[in-house]
Amino acid sequence: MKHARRWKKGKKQKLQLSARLDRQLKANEEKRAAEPTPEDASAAKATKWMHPVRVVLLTLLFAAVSVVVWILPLRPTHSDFEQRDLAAFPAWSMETMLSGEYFDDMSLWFSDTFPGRETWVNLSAAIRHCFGLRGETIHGNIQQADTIPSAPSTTTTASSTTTSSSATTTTTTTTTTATATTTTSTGTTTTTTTVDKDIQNQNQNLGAILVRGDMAFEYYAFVRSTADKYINVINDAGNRLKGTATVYDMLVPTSIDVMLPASERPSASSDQGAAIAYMYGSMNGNVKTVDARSALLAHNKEYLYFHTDHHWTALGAYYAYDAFMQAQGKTATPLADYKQHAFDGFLGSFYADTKDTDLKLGADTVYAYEPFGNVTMTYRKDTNGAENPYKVITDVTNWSARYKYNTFIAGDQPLVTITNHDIKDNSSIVLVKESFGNAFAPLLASQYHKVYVLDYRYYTGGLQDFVKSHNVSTVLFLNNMSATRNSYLVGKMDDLVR
Amino acid sequence: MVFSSLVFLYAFLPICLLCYTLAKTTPARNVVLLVFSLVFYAWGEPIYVLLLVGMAFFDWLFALQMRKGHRRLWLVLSCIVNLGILAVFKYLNFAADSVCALFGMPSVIPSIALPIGISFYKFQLLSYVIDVYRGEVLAQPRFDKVLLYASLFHQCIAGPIVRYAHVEAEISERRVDWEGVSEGIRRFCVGLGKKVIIANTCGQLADTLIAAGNGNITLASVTAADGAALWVSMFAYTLQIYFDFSGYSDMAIGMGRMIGFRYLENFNYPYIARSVKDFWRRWHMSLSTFFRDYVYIPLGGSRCSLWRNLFNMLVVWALTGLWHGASWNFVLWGLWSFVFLAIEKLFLGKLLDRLPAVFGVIYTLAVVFFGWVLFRFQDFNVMWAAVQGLFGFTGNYWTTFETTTLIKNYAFFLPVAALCATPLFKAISRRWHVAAGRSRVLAVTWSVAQIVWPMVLLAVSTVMLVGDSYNPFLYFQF
Repeated sequence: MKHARRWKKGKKQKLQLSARLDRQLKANEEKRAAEPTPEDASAAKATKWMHPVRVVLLTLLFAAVSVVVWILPLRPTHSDFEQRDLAAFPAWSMETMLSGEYFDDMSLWFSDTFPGRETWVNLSAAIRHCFGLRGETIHGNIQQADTIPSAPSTTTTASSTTTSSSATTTTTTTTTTATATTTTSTGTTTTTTTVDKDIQNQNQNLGAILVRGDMAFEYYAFVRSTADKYINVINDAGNRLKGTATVYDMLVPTSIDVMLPASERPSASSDQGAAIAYMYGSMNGNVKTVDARSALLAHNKEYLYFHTDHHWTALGAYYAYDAFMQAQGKTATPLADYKQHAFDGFLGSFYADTKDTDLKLGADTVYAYEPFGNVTMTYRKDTNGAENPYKVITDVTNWSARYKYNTFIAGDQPLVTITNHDIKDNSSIVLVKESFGNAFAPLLASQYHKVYVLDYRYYTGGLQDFVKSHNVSTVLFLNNMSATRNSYLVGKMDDLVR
Repeated sequence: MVFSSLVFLYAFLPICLLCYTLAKTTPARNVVLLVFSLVFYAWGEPIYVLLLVGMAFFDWLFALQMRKGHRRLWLVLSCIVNLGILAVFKYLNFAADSVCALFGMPSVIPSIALPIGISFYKFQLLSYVIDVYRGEVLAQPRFDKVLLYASLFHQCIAGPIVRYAHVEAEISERRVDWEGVSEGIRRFCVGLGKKVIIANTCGQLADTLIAAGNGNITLASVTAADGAALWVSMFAYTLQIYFDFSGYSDMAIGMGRMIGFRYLENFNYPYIARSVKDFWRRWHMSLSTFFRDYVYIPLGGSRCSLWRNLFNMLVVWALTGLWHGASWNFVLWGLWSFVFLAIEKLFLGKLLDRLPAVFGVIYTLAVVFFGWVLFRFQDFNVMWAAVQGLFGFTGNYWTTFETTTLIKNYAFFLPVAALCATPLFKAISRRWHVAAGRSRVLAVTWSVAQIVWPMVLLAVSTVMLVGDSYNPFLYFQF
């Protein structure tokens, strides 16, 4: 026993000795490797001056930047292209300091408001541009699309399907995230927070963007649950307004569907024609549908969509307006009968999102059409706020390149009212829209006495009340296809209709 | 705070170095380093900085007590405290999770946040106490010096795992010269470039190729990914993980050299290794030598029976896997290495020695590549989907328009990045330098290149870091 222990001890010592020896040998080896050969020595001598020069120059570079970053007036506070205020210097509190949030925010402020930021951001994009072959680029992540059903949705009662489709939404989202977060535990931790975050993220992204030459296109992924909810919302609006007003629905395809020939369209982007057919086919008799897609496709050699922005041009909106008038059995006002404006140098959301230098070459011109005659406009900043007079078309010549689409009807406002005093027939229409409707609304003003434009994202009142109190006989839902895959937006429409 | 952030580059580091230079004596400079190190750590962990100080205090005390006898007692105590705390913070969640999966108990899984860098500084402190116990170094009588060793911001949160013996002398007395500072700056800029230009870009590409629309990699997105996307994604990940880690080590080594610390190398071109054994001599060397000296050799190393030796290796590699993260996939990854190391020990090693080097390199890269598949996906379902996808068993297309486009967009970047993982550029620079001894022109051009190159890397990295802060706000912009 004693012997064994001694032997063991001896062995351990030997091992330690060998470890030490190992290290010694390694150190010697390193020393030998570091020892210069005669050749190295003469080279080192010839280039000895390099070290002080390098130290001085790099120290100067570091020092210069380190001084400039503290010149606070050089720090930008707002970014036009990102459409956001840059991070502010955080306010101190004991709580945020102990949680580390204070320091995180300080780091964020430091980098977010770096002096000369815009230049460096553009330069950074130009550097990435050199990483490979261009011509076609994809930015962002592609959303997985659902299969578009060929048969229309056969639901009869709106309420029952609302619940079933919302149930599908939750299950699809949870299965994907739940597997990622809770690996081994079964049902012990809840993943609600991650699910919520996911939905938020989806809403904040344009999704994947394909840049092709100097034009960009947004991918469209059909989401069955959201499309079904959209169908229900519109059907619901038709049912509720039955006898009060006629409800029209116009689904506007996005540029990838209209401007790219089917053969060149990436297969990961769903077929918008089929999606529109499915949604229109599922609508009940109280909703009249407007085929804007055929009208746009017939003119797709023209400038119908912006190259650097996800919106359509006023010309695209005009063909859709023409289709809407035909659907009502009316004749559209000829394009020549509108006053035309043009504002060049527009770099829209696609450019802002990708910063792709190729897109800069495709800078857009925003054309706007405004009815002649005595036409006035007011808008509300809040749903029940005061009426502010404003121009139907604003001169945005000197505005930031990012904001030129805001020329139309004061941009996105909860409620805009355009009055054509030359039309005395008391005709009126409600346009329920997201920003695609902005370029469209002025065109309607040539034919209606009153055009009420409700932005369902910001208007907090109810549609039924509005239509009744304003004695409106026509309601048009104008929604672009991307809105119908966005559960947040469709939820907002639902809020308006209920 | 991370090294590759603007606030570190242009606020923390310059102010630290300025104060350091203004302080004239080594003790004063140590105070500067200590204060800045604690601020650096507290920046990310305002509370757990106390844990770091406390642990350094205990280990300083334990090591010092050993002088008075009961050496083994103090060693055991130190190991219990160090590993115990590491276990609570790093492995308790995981253990509870695993037990719960097996027995359905406990029903409440504790959620404990992992303090930054705990695995690194704990190992440094452990190595110190063990070395004192073994009599390889003398216990440091001054607490501030032990604390400086454990908390020095160069290596505290992401390695390399520096041994006390290597810096013992330098903590008390350091020598700086032009060459040291110059080399340090160069090394720092190279590391920064590796991290910001190569690793970050590779990381984005690796994720984009197989992510879902919301940017997360999920079972659904991996299952839907085409073969080419998975291969290129894993290739980019392979590059990312090397450049990320070695870039960080370069920055640490560089900052050390600027002020007179000479840390040992942590990476030595691991992707040209000729065997898995060789790979582990080149990859994260400070960790593999730690396990060699403190686990493998004390267990008996290779000077014992073959079976005992294999058992020793198994222990080391399971622990190595577990060290990388508290999840079974890391254990699997460690065991993956073990299997090939064992095969090499049994017969493959001798065979590889006889074959041309290229076979060994290809074999090693294949093992390492699939090792990273295990390393990357924590969820076994996702991992399995990825493996199936790599070999075309998911029935997806081999490639899609999107994947082809992305590959084209990185057609220059990826090959250059891969070349940067080989010693090619180092060899060219060395040849050039040796020739500089004979030619004045070559000496001047080499020197200019040596001055300009780090400046370019610094400038490009800075521009790309500002570019990363670009975050368009497109909420409800439809």
